Amino acid sequence: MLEVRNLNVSFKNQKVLQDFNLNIENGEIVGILGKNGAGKTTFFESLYRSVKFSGEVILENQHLKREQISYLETENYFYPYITGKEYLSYFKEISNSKYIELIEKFNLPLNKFVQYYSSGMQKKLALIGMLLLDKPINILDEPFNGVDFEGVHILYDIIGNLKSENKIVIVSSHIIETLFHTCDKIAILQNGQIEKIYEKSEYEQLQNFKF
Amino acid sequence: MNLNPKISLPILIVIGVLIAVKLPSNYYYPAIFFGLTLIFHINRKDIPFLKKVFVKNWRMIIYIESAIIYALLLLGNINYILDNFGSSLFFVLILFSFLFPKTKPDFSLKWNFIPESLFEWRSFLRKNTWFAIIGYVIIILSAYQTALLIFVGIFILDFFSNIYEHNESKEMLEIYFKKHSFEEKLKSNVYFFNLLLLPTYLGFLILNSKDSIYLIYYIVFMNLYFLLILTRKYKVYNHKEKTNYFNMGVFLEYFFCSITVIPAIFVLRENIKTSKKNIKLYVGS
Repeated sequence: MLEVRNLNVSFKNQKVLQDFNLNIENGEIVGILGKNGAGKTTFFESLYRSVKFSGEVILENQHLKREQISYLETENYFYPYITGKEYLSYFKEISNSKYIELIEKFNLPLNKFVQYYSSGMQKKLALIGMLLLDKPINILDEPFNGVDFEGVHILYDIIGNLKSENKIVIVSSHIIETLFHTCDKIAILQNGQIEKIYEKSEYEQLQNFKF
Repeated sequence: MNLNPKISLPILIVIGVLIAVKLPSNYYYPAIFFGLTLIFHINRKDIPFLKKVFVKNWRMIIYIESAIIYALLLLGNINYILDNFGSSLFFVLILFSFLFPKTKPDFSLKWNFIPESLFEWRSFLRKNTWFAIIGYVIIILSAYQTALLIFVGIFILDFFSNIYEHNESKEMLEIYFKKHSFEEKLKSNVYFFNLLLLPTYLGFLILNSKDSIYLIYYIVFMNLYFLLILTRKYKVYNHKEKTNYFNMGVFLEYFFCSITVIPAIFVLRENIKTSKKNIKLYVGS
């Protein structure tokens, strides 16, 4: 279980997260919904320990470490002049069968240099690398941005698989329908706090949700 | 000559030295000035523009521009008197109109034989294939004479710095250092670097065996600088940054540390310590 207790983050006297609390069970998928600038990415960066914060982030009764997290950022970058195949070859040794399964699923032009991929293709490639790292916590910041229709369905499938592997998945998205499809809970982030958590049975109330 | 300080500063150093020092033979001057004109030509990015503006005569414009730069450099040097060798290079300049850097690089050479652990080299060579080949030939030829060895060494240091300018993604960093230790990375890169310079070392030993003390200094200096830029990459690594912002300040700092040797050793020790800490943050213990 992941427990976030009294998380506070400030940038130059501006409080971005204030007494932020959230508990996520293993195998649970939580969607984070909030306006631009609500603090979604700051929350992810805090979990990834790349911003200073006060409060506690606990995984299985121990402080959460960066090495326990896979974090797919909104924008992905790759080393220049390497092909998709070369990038993935670094991850191949972790699980060859999973590697084959994922490259078949995404069907990317792996012999092409990554900088010539579209943003959606780059996102898919980053996602494959991230999945092959096989971490207990998976953060997906706007994973559906720039991804084509087919890619969105593959993502649904992948998030479902992570759940079946008992992993924690935290997703943010501007497209509320994608969260309906994937998440067990949707947390509304407003004024630096989790204002309300909607269970799957309550998603109907979010259909016409306005901040 | 070029607004990019990485190129213009070493060139200004060469020109400054040429004002103060008279070279042993007149043949060196046209060769050096031809080299400077070639650097200008390699770095020019206005060829598509010239093609559009001077539809039929763009090759001639390229030649005239290069010839003017070469002539100005030749005539501007008080120690040089025009000779046949210098004049003949005006004909070689015609080649510039037909051989020039393409806007989209040609990847006929993919450098796949370079191991994955040296991905920075592979990427750099793919991006700068022809420039690297020409540069490498110049490095080997620099073994001909001591002053040339040092001059070319200073020039190429800055280009070696660009090899480690880019950051890999946090996932790639993590998986790389799960496979290889930081020491292994340093070793493999230093071995490769010295393997590349081996023909220069040997050539210098054969041609200038009496001056072998300079070679030892050259090897120490080059290796220290190389290790400094490599360790700096991981010292300042941050997953949010695509590059590690190598700039002229860093070049000068590491350049002076390396030529004075002892400070470089201290900076290197600090860089290694901080790099290991930084890598541990991403990879774990």
